[in-house]
Amino acid sequence: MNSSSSSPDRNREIVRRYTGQPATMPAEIRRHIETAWGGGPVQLYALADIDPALKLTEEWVAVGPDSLALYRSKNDGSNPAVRIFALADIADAKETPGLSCTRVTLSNRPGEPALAEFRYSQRQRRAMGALLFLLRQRIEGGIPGPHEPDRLYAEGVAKPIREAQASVAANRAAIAWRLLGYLKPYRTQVILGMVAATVMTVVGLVPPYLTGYIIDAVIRPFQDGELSQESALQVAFVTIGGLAAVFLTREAMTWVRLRKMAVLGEHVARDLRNDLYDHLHKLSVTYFSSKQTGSIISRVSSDTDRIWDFIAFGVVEVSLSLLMLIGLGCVLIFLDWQLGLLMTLPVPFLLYMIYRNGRGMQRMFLRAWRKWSNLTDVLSDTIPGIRVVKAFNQESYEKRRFGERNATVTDEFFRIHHRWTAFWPFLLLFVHAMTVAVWFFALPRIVGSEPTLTAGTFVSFLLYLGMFFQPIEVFGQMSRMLNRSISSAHRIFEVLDTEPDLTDKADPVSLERVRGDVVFDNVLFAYDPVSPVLKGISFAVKPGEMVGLVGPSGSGKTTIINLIARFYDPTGGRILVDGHDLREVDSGRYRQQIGMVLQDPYLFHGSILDNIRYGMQDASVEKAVGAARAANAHDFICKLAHGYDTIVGERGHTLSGGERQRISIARAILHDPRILILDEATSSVDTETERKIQEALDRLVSGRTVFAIAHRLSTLTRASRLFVVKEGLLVEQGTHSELLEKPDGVYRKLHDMQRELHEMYAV
Amino acid sequence: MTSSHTPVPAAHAGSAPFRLRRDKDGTVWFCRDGAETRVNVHLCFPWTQPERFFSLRDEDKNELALVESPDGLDAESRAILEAMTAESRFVFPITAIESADPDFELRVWKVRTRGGPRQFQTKLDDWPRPLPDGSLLLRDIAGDLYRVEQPEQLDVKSRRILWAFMD
Ligand SMILES: Nc1ncnc2c1ncn2[C@@H]1O[C@H](COP(=O)(O)OP(=O)(O)OP(=O)(O)O)[C@@H](O)[C@H]1O
Ligand SMILES: [Mg+2]
Repeated sequence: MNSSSSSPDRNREIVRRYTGQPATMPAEIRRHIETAWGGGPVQLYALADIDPALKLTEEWVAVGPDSLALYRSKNDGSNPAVRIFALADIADAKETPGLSCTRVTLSNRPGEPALAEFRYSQRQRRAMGALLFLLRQRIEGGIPGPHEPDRLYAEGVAKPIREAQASVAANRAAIAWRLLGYLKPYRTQVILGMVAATVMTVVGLVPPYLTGYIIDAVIRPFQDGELSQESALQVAFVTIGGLAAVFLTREAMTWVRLRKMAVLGEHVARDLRNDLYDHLHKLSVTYFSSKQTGSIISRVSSDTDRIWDFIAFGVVEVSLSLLMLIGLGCVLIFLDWQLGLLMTLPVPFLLYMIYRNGRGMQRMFLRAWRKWSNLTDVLSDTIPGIRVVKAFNQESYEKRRFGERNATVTDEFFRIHHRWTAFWPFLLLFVHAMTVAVWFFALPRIVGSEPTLTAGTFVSFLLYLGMFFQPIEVFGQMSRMLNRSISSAHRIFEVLDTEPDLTDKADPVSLERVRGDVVFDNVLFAYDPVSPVLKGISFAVKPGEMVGLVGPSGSGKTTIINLIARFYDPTGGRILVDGHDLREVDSGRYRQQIGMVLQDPYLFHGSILDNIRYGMQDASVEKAVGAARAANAHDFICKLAHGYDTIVGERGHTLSGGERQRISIARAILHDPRILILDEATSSVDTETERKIQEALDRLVSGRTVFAIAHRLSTLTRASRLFVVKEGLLVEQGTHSELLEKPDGVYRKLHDMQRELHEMYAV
Repeated sequence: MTSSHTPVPAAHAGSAPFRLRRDKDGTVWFCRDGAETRVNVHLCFPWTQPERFFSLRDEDKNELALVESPDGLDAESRAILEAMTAESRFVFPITAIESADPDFELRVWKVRTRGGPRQFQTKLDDWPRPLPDGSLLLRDIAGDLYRVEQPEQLDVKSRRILWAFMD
């Protein structure tokens, strides 16, 4: 059920790559341990990575059928490599948690020296937690579950990294390659664009050559009297025509290239956005609760946008600049190999300098970024907390704090500006030194007694020299852009690669009309493997029954209804609806027939009418108003200036909690669900509103199976049966009066407490 | 609830003298007025004042005493307290930084600690926190803490890397 459990290999890869600790227990150690305790398999293991002197070490802790083993792989000789303890001898495993080091003490009897101690860092916490959980279960004589030591260990160690990165441990080249794969459907366009770009670049090399040619073949011979005016003009016009043609081609190609690639970029960005959004809807709620909403949203919006940069400019620009540099080098060496080499040889050095400068700038950017976030922290602190600031009269303190941070961040920006403003002139100086060198070596050859270089070639050279700079600059700028697009692509692929953990069977049972017969058969459930939330729940609810779920906070009530709605699958046992295992039914068709009213109902951005009709877009307005009436919402809606057309939701009119609840009740009424789930539908409202909502609910519950959770027990008087949930177990069930008869029942205690409170505070 | 219901302790928890006693099995007992209670230590300022402000609590987490400074205790109790907290306040002491390079969404730190080399990750926008004593505290994504005690005493390379993370 956990998204990370589906990919043990990936977890192992992450452990290997990021923690430097073994990704599984080495086979020879496992053999050694299994021999030492007499043959049984290692059922679970974890690493204790800190020694008594608080140095890093590698000590394996393993649990088998009836023993626990400690194996020190980096042995200092003070202990035998492996120590075995019979589980029967271990009475207690006490944890003493610390900041980075937690000590576990295994003891036999209180008052006697401990059997053994080991220490581990937070990194091992999950793996160790699972192991200690199993150990304690064994000590108490519980039944062991299935054991997959390698998977649980790697999953536990990799989990924090996966939560932060959750990624395909891929490299940049692989990601760029995969991104390019998205161009496949547009193959012809890509080829057209690339050909246009190549032609554009190659043609760009022609004008300087023509300039040299005109000087050597026309101007000089004419001035020396070797060429008649007539033929000189003739050649000149042809050359001018050629030049015009070159520019025309070049600009036409530029147009084709820009247009094709810009449009292509949009195509790819759109495809990615669609893929992403579709995929997001396949993922279960587990995924969404483990990620920040903002981070998911930015993947679909800004990350896909950056891909446009990559396709439209990155790919082309970088390959063209490379082509340009190579082309220039070839042309120059072809024109005159000595001068050509003089100019091409320093180019790698130039590129290296740009690279070095980039690295240095990165450190500065990092520093500036840190100071920048210091500055924005002040904002995100004080603006939502402005009332506290005012109440404590801290305006001047906050202003000073902001001012100081503003000054330091500006200092960092100054530093960055000083660096780059110095670097580019320096680079230009270098380039101009090359120019001077060309003059220095070329001129003596032109004006020598036996000239080895023509004036035209010299001029061409100077023009080419001017072209050298641009591609080099592009490399400087593109590397940052490429890096950012690749990171964006990585974030996108990360979502696309998350495998949906709740999938329907290939040919699911379609429940056309749910009767509402719900059976829990010894259901076990845990959000994460270490701490079980439901510990074996069984009940059977008949169609049309109204069941109230009560119990202390955190006991697992919401979890039960999450399972009924199949937001999660149980880890053990099964849930039957109308006799079918929920894992076998078509979940789409099934959920259509479930209505939920949640404690904090969510309204979408849109009108109240849209919200009532959510999921039933084609219901008539009359029906919607009828539902609102039934939900006791019609009155307050009509009092709003814009009535049913009032825009609500995040940026719209803010309704109170009770009003939102009534709208979501109306939504549920309109939906006419077969199974209705009410999770504290009347929690934070006054008694008058509660009475109204209660009336609405009474109308709603008849004729369907209802699960209602409530803290105020008075809300559940209509329930045909009450289930009392405590610490993941169904501890009591029965009608209100039956439960009150149990002298020290949980329900009775809750009931008495609420009555007392009521008497104390009721006026 | 109204504020008048808040329980007010009868006397300041730390006022009466007490001592600590350690058993063979390592259990530590809090002894005062002839009564003995199993005791655990909670650090009030684990990052900034790890050597002061110890809250001694019984198994149900009720405070038995607040030790503002161990200096006022007898030698044995002080030694026991010191031994009890040495591990719980332990953070990895960084002695050199090999690299701190960004990976996707993460910054990968390769460091040497007094206990050996270690590699860990922080989020890209999670910055080391300067502490009042001039040291630098890092917290990795698993929750482990690392401390650079005197950043300016590190070798040149480490300082170059840390430069971007310090004021
Ligand atoms: N998404 C989740 N991931 C991990 N643990 C969870 C998650 N949701 C709930 N839990 C844990 O599961 C346990 C049961 O939670 P649940 O929401 O079912 O309680 P509840 O009975 O509905 O409580 P309340 O009355 O406060 O709503 C709690 O300990 C809670 O911390
Ligand atoms: Mg709940």
